[in-house]
Amino acid sequence: MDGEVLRRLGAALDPGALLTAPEDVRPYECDGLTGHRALPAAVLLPESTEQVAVCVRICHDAGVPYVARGSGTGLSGGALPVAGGVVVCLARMNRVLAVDLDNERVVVQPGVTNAAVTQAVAAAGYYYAPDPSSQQVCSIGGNVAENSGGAHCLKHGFTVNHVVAATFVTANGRVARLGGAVPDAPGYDLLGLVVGSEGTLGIVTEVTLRVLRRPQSVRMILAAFDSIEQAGAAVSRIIAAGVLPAAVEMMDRLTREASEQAVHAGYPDCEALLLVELDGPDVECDAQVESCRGICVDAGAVEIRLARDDAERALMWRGRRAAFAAMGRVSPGYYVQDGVVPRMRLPEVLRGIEALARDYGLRVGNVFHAGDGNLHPLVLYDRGVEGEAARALELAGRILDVCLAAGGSITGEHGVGHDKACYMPRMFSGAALTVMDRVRAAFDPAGLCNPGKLLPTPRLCGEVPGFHRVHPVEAAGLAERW
Amino acid sequence: MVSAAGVREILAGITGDDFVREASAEDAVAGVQPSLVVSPGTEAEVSAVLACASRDGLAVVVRGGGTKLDWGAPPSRCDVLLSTARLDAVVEHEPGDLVCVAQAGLRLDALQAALAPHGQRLALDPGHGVAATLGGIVAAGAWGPLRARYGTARDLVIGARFVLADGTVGYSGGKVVKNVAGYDVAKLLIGSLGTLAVVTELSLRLHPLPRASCTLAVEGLDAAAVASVWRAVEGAAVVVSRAVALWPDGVLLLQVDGTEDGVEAQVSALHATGRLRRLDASDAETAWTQAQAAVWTEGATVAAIGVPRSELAALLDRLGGVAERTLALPSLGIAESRLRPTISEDDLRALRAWTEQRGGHLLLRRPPASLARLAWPQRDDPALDLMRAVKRSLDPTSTLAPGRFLGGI
Amino acid sequence: MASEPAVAPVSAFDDHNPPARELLDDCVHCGFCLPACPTYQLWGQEADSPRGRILLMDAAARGQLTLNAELVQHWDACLGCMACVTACPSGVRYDRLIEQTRQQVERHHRRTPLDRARRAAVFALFPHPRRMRAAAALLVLYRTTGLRRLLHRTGSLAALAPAIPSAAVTARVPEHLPATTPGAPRRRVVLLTGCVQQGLFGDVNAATARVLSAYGCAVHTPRAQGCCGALELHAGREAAAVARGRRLLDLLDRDAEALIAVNSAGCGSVLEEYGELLGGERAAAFAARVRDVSEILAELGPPSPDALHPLPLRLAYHDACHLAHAQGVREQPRTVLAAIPGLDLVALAEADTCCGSAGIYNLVQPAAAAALGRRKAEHIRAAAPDALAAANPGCLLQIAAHLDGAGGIPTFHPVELLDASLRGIPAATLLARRRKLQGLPPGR
Repeated sequence: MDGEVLRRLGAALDPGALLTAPEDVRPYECDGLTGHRALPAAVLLPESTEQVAVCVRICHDAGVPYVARGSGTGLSGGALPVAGGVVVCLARMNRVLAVDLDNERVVVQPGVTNAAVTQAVAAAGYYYAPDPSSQQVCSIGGNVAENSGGAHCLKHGFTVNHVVAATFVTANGRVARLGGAVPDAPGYDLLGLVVGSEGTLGIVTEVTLRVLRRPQSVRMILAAFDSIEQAGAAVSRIIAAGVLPAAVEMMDRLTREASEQAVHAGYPDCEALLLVELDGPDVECDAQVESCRGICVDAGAVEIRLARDDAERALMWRGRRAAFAAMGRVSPGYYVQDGVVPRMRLPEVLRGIEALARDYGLRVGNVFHAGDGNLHPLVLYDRGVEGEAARALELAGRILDVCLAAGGSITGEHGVGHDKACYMPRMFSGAALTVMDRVRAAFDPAGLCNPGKLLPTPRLCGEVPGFHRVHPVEAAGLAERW
Repeated sequence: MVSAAGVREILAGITGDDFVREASAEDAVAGVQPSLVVSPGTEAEVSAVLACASRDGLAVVVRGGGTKLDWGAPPSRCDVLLSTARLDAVVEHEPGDLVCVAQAGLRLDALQAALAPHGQRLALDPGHGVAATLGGIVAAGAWGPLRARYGTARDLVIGARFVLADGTVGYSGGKVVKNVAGYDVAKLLIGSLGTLAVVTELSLRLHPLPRASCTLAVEGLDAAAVASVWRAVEGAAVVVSRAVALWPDGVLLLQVDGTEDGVEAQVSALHATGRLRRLDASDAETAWTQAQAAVWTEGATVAAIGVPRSELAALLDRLGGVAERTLALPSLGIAESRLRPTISEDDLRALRAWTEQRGGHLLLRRPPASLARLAWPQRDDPALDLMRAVKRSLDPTSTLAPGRFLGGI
Repeated sequence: MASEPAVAPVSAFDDHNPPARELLDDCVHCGFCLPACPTYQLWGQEADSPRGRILLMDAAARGQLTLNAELVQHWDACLGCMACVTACPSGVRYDRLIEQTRQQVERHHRRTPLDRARRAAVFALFPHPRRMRAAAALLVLYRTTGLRRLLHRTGSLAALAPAIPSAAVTARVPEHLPATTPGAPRRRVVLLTGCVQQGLFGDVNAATARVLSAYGCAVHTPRAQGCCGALELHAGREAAAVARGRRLLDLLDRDAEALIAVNSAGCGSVLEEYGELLGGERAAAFAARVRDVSEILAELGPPSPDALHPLPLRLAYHDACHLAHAQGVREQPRTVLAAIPGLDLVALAEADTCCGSAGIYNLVQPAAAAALGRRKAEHIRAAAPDALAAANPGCLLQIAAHLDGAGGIPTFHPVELLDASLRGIPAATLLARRRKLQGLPPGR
């Protein structure tokens, strides 16, 4: 990269906030998706909106691509650098700026961890609802980029339902205020678009979040089943009965055993374990617990336990949250897939996955947010066996096809990023992708803001047969394709 | 530029003769009368109609039930009125998934009637007219008191199919609530008053109908008391599905849902917060309908106001001189106010400034011609520039309702 | 373009015990270690997080990086506190990896002259109990003549000089101390005297022996014990550490049924590693018998219901890294202290975050150590205790240095409180004496 550009970037930042030495820069070569790595030329560690804006302006003027990064825990490679480009790491912007409980608002910098938001308001009896499993380390900025959900999004919604305003550095280095202190801000809902846009439209440098009062009662039921199908049927019946649990999680034998090794939560031994969390006013919650317990029994549960207190409930969650990372103990090589299917189709989809796994001769562990049909199949492979990793990746892709065939989505939480950009045409028509291209072009005409992510490009995806997108310039009649 | 007769012929070629006609005075959009009214029957027809219109430099305004055509500023031009009346099917409903897919021209009441036998509903209760369609409600970002618990279209729409001015058919989201694939373009369309695209189909998140319900009223409150009673309600660990303050009546109307036992327990908890009167089922029904109807009377100019909820008491007091009737949501600081017909431009500007100083906003719904220019607040900032860029990208020919939106978009 | 001959990348590490490939591959990059890592919390830079340090080890092993000063600094900056090991859901053996890496650095990286001199001075003094006693004697003078206040401003080694009681220099632990409970001893223990502990806190060793005896242990304290090798092992000086370990093993391993009682967290964690460090069944069997003093006391319980006299005071307990993270001992010290009537264990924020002492860290990375020391002191002051307890001499030195001055709070090893409680020393007296010793203004 041009020395002059580096000099200007360094001048815009605090001392020690521009990293260019290989030893300093290499740790940023990937995020949580470690199979894809690229070395940036520089990593920036800004500490204010102004610094971010100036740096983006410099990159924009110099034609240098840049990628924003929070805690680097994303699983779709959204923070994968552009080789030779710049990484804008928001980790040092980690302060909680304001807490306004009268209005149920917390203002934070993007590097604040998800869990830190709840910590800031916990003493007053409030909490921040979206709670991805990586909440101890993942950043709010990253949550905004991916529209993160977490186990409790079933009842309480996603990041987009909890962000009311944001300060946003545009792709040409201007500072825009999106949303407002009050809902229904006049104009297009740019904030609703930016949340979940995976850092491809600009960089968020300040976020106003909505926090909720803790419910009066929170209860957890553990139900052990002899099969995933039975457990899935129980979930459907619970929903059909009009109960909306705060969270419904399912683990199969493989993932539960791995989790036990790491956390020792003491889960019952079974083929399929259901964790159902209910919250609300005391009496209402009690009624829901009874309802769910009855349904689980009718559905064939072999064991039912109620968490005795908050500490036990927390332990049950720790076990669930550690499940992915704990799989490393069972099989150091594995891919975490992320797909969604309509809840009613879960049993058939799981059968489909099971059949595929048999065909490929690989093991697949299942952890999922059963309440909203979001699956996380963990495709295991032996790194020592030649070609097994590639087969596992292929199987992971076939699983997505199964999800799509069932009317679902290629990603429920982890995002498209680098990992699934080439799958987008399987879910969206060429025309639909063109519309998304046009939206992106409105924000980033120069194509420097996290390029190569979220939308397929011929260079990234190769020539996909039958995939032809009308370029906006073509559409405007200003050019012809030949 | 093709002649009006020529356009009519082309459109008739798309939809069939029966579904194109000349517009009459009743078809005017905020005083701007179109030449033609066209009613496509399929998404493909919508696409063809729009492609034709944009090619020929015509301006198109979309109409569902026609209940909110006078929201926003009047369009600067309107040549074709595109009616969604024939796009009125329930495409898919999977009760077990609590999701349904419906066409944009379906009336909300018809949808609710189709869902009720399954014990489900779309938790949206705007009160602007029974003819309101899903597409219109979404395009206008309309809401009702249920938003306190269930949110608005922003929270309930999980996917949308739409057509751009040049006929491109796009979609975002899908049929599952949990979905982060691609840009959520539907978010841009919600509240866009049809200026970015024509929505043809919506995927909606549903909720179960409550098993039991109870409506309570607290009466004779001044502004400060409204706020303090509401805080007490929030502190009482009850889940309120609807809560509105009616002003200047000084009434707080609350609805609690749940199981029978659960509702009774919550009602007991609420009695501790103040003098509550329990309404029987039919009085409740009337009270809720009246709450909105009293604001949205025929010919009324309504201000949609937002302030931080900690300023709600101050807002109610401030509205004293200029509003005849207000419905406010104490949990959100959002209000709809029927303004005095004689309100002056100065008074309106002052009220808007008052809300903006507090970080809020004021929009006018159904402004009279004299106040049309004040429908939207003035702003000039990078966010507005982004909005203009989005409009230019999706509708470069300014075909869709030009001039109707914020900033003259 | 002519193709270049493919050159296999050469690891920056040698073949003797490099960071193991299987261990490196255990890291799935989940990042759960980041919030637990004190240097990441201070600097927000990936290369100074466990995840980043592992990635750098991996890159060096693959020949993508060479062992230059910039790279080494990232590993040097690691406290070795092992909070990341506690936090890691994948069970990554970061402790093993950093140890292996540091040994490689010591063998292959030429440090600056100043750095070499500093380290030489540290290792010439700290692991040598007799030299430490001599230094302690000087420090007694230093305290009594007021030199301390003068030198405190220099920010050097002298600043860490604690107020050393004369008792620390003169206290001797009897070689055999029988159990004072009636009947046969409930346990036989061999007491480790340590190096820094022996040199600067000899009275703590004496108190430890007394307390163990009171709880029913027959305490054997072999003479002339040397350093256990912890300081050298954690700094990557493998050969020196192994030599010390062998010597100490010979000295302490005389009774196959005696537990090895340790009152210094750093030492305890290394002794528990002797199996791997020294190899062989004997070392492994020895290591399995090592216990922190609090573990032994918690298991035995107070000798009788009225043995512990009240000590009504508010106490904050700091978890030494090598006790909490390395050994997993968190509950026992708290249980043992809570048994003292009237003692109120107050909540301490970030109780198990490193204080910055970390072996010799505060001597070779003074800026980072000071930042962490200040942070720890702030949390302690915020808890407003009457005293602070920590089960490691290094922690006590570091924390006392930062808890100095007007807002100062007296510091103790937990056994000192137990000892005082057993002997019926009133809380007010105990606190006043310690405040005076540490040069703090009198408390309430």
